[in-house]
Amino acid sequence: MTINDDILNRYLDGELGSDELNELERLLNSSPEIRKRMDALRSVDLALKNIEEESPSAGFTSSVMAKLTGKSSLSRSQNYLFVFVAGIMGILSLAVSGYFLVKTLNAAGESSSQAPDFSAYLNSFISTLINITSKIDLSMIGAFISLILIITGYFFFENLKHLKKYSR
Amino acid sequence: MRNLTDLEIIESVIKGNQSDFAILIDRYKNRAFSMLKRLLKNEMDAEEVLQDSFLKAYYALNSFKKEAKFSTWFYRIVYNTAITKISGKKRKIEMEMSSVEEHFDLVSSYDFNEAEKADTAGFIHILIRKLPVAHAAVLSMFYFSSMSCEEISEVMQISVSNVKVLLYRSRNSLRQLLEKNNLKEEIL
Repeated sequence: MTINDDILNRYLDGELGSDELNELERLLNSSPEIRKRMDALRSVDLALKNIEEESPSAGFTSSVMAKLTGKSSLSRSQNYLFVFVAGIMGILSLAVSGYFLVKTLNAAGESSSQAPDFSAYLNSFISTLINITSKIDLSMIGAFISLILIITGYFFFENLKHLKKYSR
Repeated sequence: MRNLTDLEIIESVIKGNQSDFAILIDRYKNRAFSMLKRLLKNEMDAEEVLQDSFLKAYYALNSFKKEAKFSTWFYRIVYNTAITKISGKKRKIEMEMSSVEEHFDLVSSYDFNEAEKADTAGFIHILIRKLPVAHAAVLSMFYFSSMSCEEISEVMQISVSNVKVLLYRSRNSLRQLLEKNNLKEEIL
């Protein structure tokens, strides 16, 4: 058997078969040169086993936990802001719709002395909306929609950035 | 609380007990830091990469497969983050076969002065720091983290036989250096 470094390493890790093991042990007893190489390899193995672990700075764990907590609370505050903005938008939309609905109901009530008819109210409301969108209020609606898109886009890209950073 | 298994801690964190993640950090930070210091050859970079690795692990906990071993999964994140850092710094990266085939000769490339030889504990540290990245990674995982060659092959995404080639070659280089500098007895 040729004794190379590979065999000595496998012997060190207890990976030799019984035939190879017996042969090597016989050679280790009879050859000072092979024994010297094996002893040197054992020294390396022992020195590596004896190396002490090193530690990061003292506040490492709390620093990582602070980052995690900070990110979570940031994302919570983003969610609160999102709910707040969506709530304001919803209230504004309801207020605008309510205003035009009341206006329509009043107009329909004045033009007819008869009992109010639901379909008449609906027709009147739709025609009022068409009038609004076809006149000066169209720019207001456009600005309103743009605002919603900008705010939604901001939150979308912020979340995307956040996900990208930690999903790699 | 400290006796919980990794899996129990992970389940607790997923349920919302965020602070339990600190137990995992305390459990793995020293071993991972020891490896990173040898890979990155720099304490500040090692700490930065370690912090980034823990943050990545936390945000990916939901994707961790419970039948896998957390240590192997986590070391893969650590190793990949370190390689990204090294490639970002335009250092030489050794990948699977190229690193195995690559010839490196510690014995003739470095002469130790007497002061370095006198500090035997520091001497072995210097030797490891002179090893190429993949060799240092294998040695660190094998000796500091007591990982098997199979686990290391999973972390580094290379074959088990290549892990052994890297391990044996690293040991042999260190052995030759010790012999050259007559340090075998001193280290023992």
